[in-house]
Amino acid sequence: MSTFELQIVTPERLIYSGPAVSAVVPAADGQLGILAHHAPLLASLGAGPLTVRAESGVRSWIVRGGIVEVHENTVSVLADEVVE
Amino acid sequence: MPSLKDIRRRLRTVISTQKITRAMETVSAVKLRRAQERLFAARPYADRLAAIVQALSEDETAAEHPLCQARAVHHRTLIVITADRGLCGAFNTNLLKQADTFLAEHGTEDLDVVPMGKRANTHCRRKGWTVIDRVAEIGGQASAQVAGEVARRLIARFTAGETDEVWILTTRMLSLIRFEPHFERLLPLALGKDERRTGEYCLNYLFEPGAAEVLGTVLPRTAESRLYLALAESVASEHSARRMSMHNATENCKDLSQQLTLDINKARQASITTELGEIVGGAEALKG
Repeated sequence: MSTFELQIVTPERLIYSGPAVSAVVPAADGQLGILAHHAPLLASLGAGPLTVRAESGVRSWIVRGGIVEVHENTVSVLADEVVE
Repeated sequence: MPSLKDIRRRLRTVISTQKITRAMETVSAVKLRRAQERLFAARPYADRLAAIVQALSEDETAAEHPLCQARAVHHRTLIVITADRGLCGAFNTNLLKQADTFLAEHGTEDLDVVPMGKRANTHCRRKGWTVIDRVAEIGGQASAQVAGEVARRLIARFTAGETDEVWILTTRMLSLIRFEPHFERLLPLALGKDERRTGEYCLNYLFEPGAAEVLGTVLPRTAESRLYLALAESVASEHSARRMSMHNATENCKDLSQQLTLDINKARQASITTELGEIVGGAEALKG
């Protein structure tokens, strides 16, 4: 299955970095699903669950505020706050 | 010449001071490592954000955002970041001297300050500067939340036109043993162009929900992140400065205790010699 590089960071630290198959992020106006080779995107984040499916399993966090960027098959979630 | 007893007492105080300074040196070394790790951990976020801002600044709409607009400067705000405590050499003094120079240069009338850290707060109170916001205590480590709140309040003031320029005065760490006070302009935001990256980001992003909203998210975050980095760097420099000055103090104690031990031995030897002299003299007199 094709994957993309995912990075979840907060101003204070790196939360997650690695390959992922899909990610569902809480954008400002609703949940946003991202698969590999997504078009370049910049979206504001709202608050809600962030679910990541990787080959090793599914992980999820709760995030609040920030931005998500998709660029060249790399997804960066820059969240203001992240809770496991 | 002080008596043997006096020198012994001094030696004891020097040795106990040395114990304290050595302990402080060790503690500072640990805190320095932790502060550096935090500084390091903040980098992925700041780098990513800078790359996004870079990409956006290719777009003219970013440069036109109110947060990036330079305007005629009537009113300035200076954020002064110091440590909470002393015993770190000239760390606080050097920084506050720079603050004094800045205020002398720009006048105190159209200028207000935001002290962060106990030392900065005390200094501003003593000088009678206009304080519009404050972080009374930095605490053990730099907090992104605290920095974010301060930055957001300043952004609100900037947007409302109450201040035209916001500067940060912090201590930058040049290396583990070298640091210097450093001014950085926080607002209006400078969207620096990194020539190496030009071209790499000429791509059209999809904006969700819209370009204006995303810019309104990204640009304030940039200011918050810059202030947090400045704070984290100041904390790391503080520990580094304290470790160095405590190291010097420990070395001085070592020299001093060596000298005092020598003095004690000399004094003891002198008293033995005098006593012997007296005994021999007495015996001679009896024989005589």
